[in-house]
Amino acid sequence: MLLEVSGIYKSFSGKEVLRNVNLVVGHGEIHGLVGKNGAGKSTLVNIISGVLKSDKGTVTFNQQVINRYSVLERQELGIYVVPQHATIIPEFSVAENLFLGIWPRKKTGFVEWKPIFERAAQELAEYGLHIDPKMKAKDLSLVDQRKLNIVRALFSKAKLIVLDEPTTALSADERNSLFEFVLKLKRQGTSFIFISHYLEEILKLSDRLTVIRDGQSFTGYSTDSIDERELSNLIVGEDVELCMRSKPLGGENIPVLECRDIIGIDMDGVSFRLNRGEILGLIGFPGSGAREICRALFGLHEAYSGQIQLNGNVKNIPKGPKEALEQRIVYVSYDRHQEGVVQLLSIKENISLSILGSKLKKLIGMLDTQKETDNANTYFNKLNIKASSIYEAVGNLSGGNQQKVVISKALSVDPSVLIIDEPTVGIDVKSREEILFLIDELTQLGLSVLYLTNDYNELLRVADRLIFFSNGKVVREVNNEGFTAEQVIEMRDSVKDGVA
Amino acid sequence: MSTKETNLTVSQPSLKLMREKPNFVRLFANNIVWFLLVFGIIIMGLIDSSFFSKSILQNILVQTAVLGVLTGGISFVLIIGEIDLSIVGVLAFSAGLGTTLMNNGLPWFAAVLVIIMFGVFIGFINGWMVAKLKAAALIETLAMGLILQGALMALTQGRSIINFPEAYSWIGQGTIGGLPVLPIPFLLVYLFIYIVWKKTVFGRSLFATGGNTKSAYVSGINVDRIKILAFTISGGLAGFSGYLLSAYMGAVTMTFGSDLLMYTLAAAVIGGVSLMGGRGNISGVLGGVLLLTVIQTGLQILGISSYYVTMVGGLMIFIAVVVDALKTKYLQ
Repeated sequence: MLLEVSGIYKSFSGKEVLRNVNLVVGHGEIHGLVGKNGAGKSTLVNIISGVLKSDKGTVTFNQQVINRYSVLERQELGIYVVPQHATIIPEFSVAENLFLGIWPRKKTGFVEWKPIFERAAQELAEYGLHIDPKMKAKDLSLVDQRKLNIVRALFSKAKLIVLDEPTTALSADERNSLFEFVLKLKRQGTSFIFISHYLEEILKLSDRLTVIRDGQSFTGYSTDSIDERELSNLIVGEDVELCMRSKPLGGENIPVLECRDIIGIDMDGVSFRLNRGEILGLIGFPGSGAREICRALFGLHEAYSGQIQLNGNVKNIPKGPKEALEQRIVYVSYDRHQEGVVQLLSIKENISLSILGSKLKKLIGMLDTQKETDNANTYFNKLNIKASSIYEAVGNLSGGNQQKVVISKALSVDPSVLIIDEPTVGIDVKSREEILFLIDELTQLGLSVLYLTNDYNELLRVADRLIFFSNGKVVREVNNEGFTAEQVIEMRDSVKDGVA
Repeated sequence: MSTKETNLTVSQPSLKLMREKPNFVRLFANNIVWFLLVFGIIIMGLIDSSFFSKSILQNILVQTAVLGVLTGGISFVLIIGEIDLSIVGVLAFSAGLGTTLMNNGLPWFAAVLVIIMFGVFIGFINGWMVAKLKAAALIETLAMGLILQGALMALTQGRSIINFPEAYSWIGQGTIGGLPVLPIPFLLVYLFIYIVWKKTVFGRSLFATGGNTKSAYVSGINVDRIKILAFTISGGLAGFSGYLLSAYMGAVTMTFGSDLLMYTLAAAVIGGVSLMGGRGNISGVLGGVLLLTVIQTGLQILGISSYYVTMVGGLMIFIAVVVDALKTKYLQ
């Protein structure tokens, strides 16, 4: 066995976060690690990597007890963590990033720059990563950045690499490319601990898996002996009811939003219609116009020309979020940290942000604090946000609960159109289903939704209709009638080939 | 594979109790500036009991007024995560401008208006440069401060401006029923800031912008406007504190207020305002300015040679900042 974690206990200021946790990873094994946000996964990873020391229990690596080893000493042994957010230096070249901290030096102590590009090119090619070592790291695609991080770990003779949610914000193709890369390295003998919220990924990629729930481990499952439903029940500790779309409103299709010939960067005449109470799924590669139109309708992406009709009235395309909100169009961004929450502010204060200047404004700019508290409490209960109260800082919440706050903020506007962009990335199964149920329920009351996600299984469960984007246009439209994710991928790829 | 035996709801209440426990520590850590202040006053009093006299405590409030108003203003800018180094320049030049005009025949109340409006004007320019032209606030306001301090020198040719009418100086030197007037505008300004931060749409937008500008923008907040307003208020209050200082001193000199900048930043930080933006409350700032004044006044009263005062004062601020940093680290 390469890594053996046994009987780990860990408490933070009296609160037990890990309780008798066990986990074993063999040579050349990909080991899946799953659990809700806050279940203790990160703590366990930190104990394996040496950032934290356990209160009780042992970590054994290559028959060597390494409890007392520091992070650096463990890296020398070959344990590396590739964190969720790529830790590259954007302004440095690929080669410089690769050699960061282990620069080849001359006797004088100066860095020997000349050979590093050649050596970098060699190393990259060896691991099957074909990128120019002179490129600036910031110009790499997201997936290449993650791969670069993995190569960097391997380059330092890593035997065990912990991949912390490596597929977040990657498209399906990028994901597959990353998986192939990982599988190739596995065949070369590297072991991985693979953390992800996407259960189908875990089941597809890993050999065995461990579930962490409430600080306890359920370990040793072979991925052949467990299916997605069983796994998600194991993670949550109860039966999670999967959201299924209730029957949409009656047959009358009243258009709420009509887009006509919207042109801008990556948008080459986007036209489509969204009906009242409908969930419209948007599908397309990055740069195909799907995300661009979502952001353009909220004023976050510039549109040069085109027209929208809202409830039958011709309107300008919003020039900024403020204008969009006035037209009761809201957008939930894929980037929760940058464009969603304000971590320092409380749940209540975050939920109010979108209605500060409208509903909550009294005479001379005073804040209607009573109304604010009522509104926050309504959504706090409706979305079942897990926190001590609405006064808790959002930064203390788990990803799923933060996302619920962002959605509460959007819904506070009483939107007529909700644009939702990767709403379930990095959040746990239970929160995901709660969010989906709520969206489903709100469409029954007349809310219309544009739904953009790369998780097609999820999309197919809730969408009424699908539109496919390619080269900045809507190229295909189908009603969602019992498709599988594979069929959708096929359709998406075929429309791309058809146009290109 | 059955997992029904685990009842999740059972563990919830105990979890909550765990969280409540360190509340007292938290209370202490969050209000550390007030504990330091009380501690400082007691120490001073033990060394020299005359420290507890009414006149000295009054004196502290008077001394705090100018620093306090100035710090209140810059706090607006710190909360949006920017910095305003021009405030002492604004304070000095606007007071110099107003009093020069007054000595050349402008009525005193018009002079006061000129002083404040000049500060507002400079603050607006700073805000506009930072928000619209994306200028780096550190350099832009540093330059603005230098221009204004130089402009005061050019205006006065090195001479002090003196001989103010009594009505002008009343706010700094007058008394009401035996008590000095000066703390009143100071405390009113703090009341005003409290209301703005806690009770208005603008105040909430200010903290949101400082906490995460992008999120604030996506939530429909006009962040450029918030930034410009924050700088404008900072400039306006800097002008107002220039009026207070000139009225108190009865003169505008060359080095007018120039030592205040670092104390202002120190007071705000000790008071819990984050230089990264998004964090701060006005009672903390009040504690911060009082603490610094107590230290300064205390050192004078204790008769420490003036050659050491700056160093000891700096050391005290250093300790306070270390305590604050430790607190922040602990609370994380």
